[in-house]
Amino acid sequence: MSRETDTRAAGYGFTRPQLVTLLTPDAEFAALMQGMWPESVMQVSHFTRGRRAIETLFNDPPDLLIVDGELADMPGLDVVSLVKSENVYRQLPVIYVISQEELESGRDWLAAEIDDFLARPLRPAEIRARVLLTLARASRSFDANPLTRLPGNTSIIHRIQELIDRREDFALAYADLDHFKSFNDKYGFSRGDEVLMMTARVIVNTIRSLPGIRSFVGHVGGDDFVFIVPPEVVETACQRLVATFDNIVPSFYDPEDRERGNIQSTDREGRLRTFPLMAISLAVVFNRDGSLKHYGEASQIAMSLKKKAKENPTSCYVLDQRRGDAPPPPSDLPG
Amino acid sequence: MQKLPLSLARPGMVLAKAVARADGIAVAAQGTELSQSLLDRFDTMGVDAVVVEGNPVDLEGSAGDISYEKRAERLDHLFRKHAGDKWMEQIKKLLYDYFKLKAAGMAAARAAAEPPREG
Amino acid sequence: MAEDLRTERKGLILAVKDLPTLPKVLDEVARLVERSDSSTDEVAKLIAMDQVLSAKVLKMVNSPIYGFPGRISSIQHALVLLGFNVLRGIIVSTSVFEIMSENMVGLWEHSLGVALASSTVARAAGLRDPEEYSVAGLLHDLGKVVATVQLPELKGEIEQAVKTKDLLYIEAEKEVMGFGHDRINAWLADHWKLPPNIKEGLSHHHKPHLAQLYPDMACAVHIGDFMARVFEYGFGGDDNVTYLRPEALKRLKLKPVDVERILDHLSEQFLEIADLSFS
Repeated sequence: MSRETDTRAAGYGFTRPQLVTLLTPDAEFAALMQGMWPESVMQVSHFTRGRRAIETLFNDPPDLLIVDGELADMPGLDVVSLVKSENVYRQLPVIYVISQEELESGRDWLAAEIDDFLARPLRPAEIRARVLLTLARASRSFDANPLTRLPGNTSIIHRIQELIDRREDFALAYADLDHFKSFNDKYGFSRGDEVLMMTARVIVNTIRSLPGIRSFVGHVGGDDFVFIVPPEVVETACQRLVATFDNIVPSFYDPEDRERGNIQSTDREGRLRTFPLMAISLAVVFNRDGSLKHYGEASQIAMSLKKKAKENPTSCYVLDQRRGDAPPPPSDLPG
Repeated sequence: MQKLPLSLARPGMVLAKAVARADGIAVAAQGTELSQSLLDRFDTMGVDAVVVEGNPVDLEGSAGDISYEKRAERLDHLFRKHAGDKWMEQIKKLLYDYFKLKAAGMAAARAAAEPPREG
Repeated sequence: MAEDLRTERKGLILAVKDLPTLPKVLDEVARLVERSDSSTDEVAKLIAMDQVLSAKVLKMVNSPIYGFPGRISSIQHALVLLGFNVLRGIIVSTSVFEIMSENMVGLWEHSLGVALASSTVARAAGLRDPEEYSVAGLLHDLGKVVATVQLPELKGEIEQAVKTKDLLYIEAEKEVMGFGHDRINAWLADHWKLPPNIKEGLSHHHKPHLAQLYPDMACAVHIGDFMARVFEYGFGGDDNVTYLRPEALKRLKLKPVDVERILDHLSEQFLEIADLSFS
């Protein structure tokens, strides 16, 4: 995905082009939808028959489904029921297109399971607004990471951008786990999930132990977490986090590995490989006096700091010491 | 898997769950094959039950086995005050079908795990 | 400070002064936790000073009910991983455990079963901090114990009503005392200053559709109670299932496939918790 693509989707608050499935016999409506946004923002797939759409929907779920009431092969609402009855697709937002008469005669909205509607005659401005609003609403409610229930990537980005726009001072920390992959490989995914839950709890409760501050904790995905706290407390937070994590993580290993302080496994060539116990790496970026303009900047700075943090095989944190635009001096490795 | 009193555990069985000390800390991992020395160690540590893979011991009717068959049979009694209520009848049926299916699965697993008869 | 609770029979009261005493350390710790500058270490040290209590707490937190089975080696870790609310709930329940076991056989096991089932339901529904739901499940029948201990003559009458009229325990309580253990729970929660979400789980598990502030909590404990009764795990005072309110399943967005997943997990886990008694 090119930088230009990123920026255009991001201009609407999306991190990637949104996929829309449009189910309607109305060719004009389809043309209107397909012409409304550039492909980098919204990609519209058009179907005229319910059955075909359903197949594709289940294999490749879109971000939004727009269903017209009257299709050639089945009632639009049947498609909606089918989709919403599958647990996995319950969260797929659905906009239902109805006629003026249906709107006037009223319907059982509770039974319908749709998220929003459009009434004919269709107006471009209204279509635009409804589609964007429905997508935004969907991203807000269902962003939570399924394992830890912490806010996910979209919420995280929104929060960071919000603080930047308000020129509020903050410290943004990116956390991830070193040697997590080797743990997962040896112990399996469900124990890996235990470690991720533990990490989430340690971060949340450590931040909670800092008195009277505004904070935010998010789970990007996998072993990547993010937290935001006032700049004055971030170093304390990092120190406590590192200490607590190192203290707790040995309990998640089997007794022999715990005692040895490492995992041993043989690779495909029969070589013995040793992996240290997992460690937490933290990279902290600051926003002071509006130094950051865009969340993208924050994550770029964090990536380069993170490389330094990961050079250290034990748990550690790296704080961005820059003023202005100079790159971080190489000697900055506290903790 | 099956929870067995330590006295019924035998070398060769495989732990389906980790074994923990009295304070709860794990001391033998899931997947460990039991040996006599390990069983003796558990005994001295005061461990009184272990959970092993499969269903090596016939415990039908005692505490170490969730008897799905029994669960299904008890439903009429447990639901007696709600007889005639459509919703509760639906729930009862869901549970009945679930337990019957599980019971059948357990029976099949036991049959499959039987050692081949001699002769 | 809560007042005594009057029953609607013969002016019998449930007195605050006759409630089971909770460990002294709990009050001190609660005060410490309220101070914003206390650290987890300080709180942990305070609890750890009561060694008998700490041992019981560690045994409980390492059970499969709490999400990190076999992983918690200290009170400090327990605090970081589960939070103070959960620890307080466990401390309260271990304090009442003995009285519970002496006075109503099978009630402790039933409470454990509901603790496990409530957190399983919470996880299936994608709710945050499922361990808090276990605590509400663990404490949901506290009111039964308090009533039987303080008013033993009423206990006899309630048990008679259950037997002869084939009533649910809560129906019998209402007949004899004028109210059920859910009302007593609310009174206890106030007196012991339990957090509001747990209080609502305790007071509304029989009428989750009427819960105002924390409906998810009330619904999870309601379904948890039902599940423990289906498995007949322990004994809650009668051998019936409670009426399962469809609103509870709807509120938590649980479909039949979710219910089956919960049943799978419980079938497995009920084996596991069978030895969580302190003898």
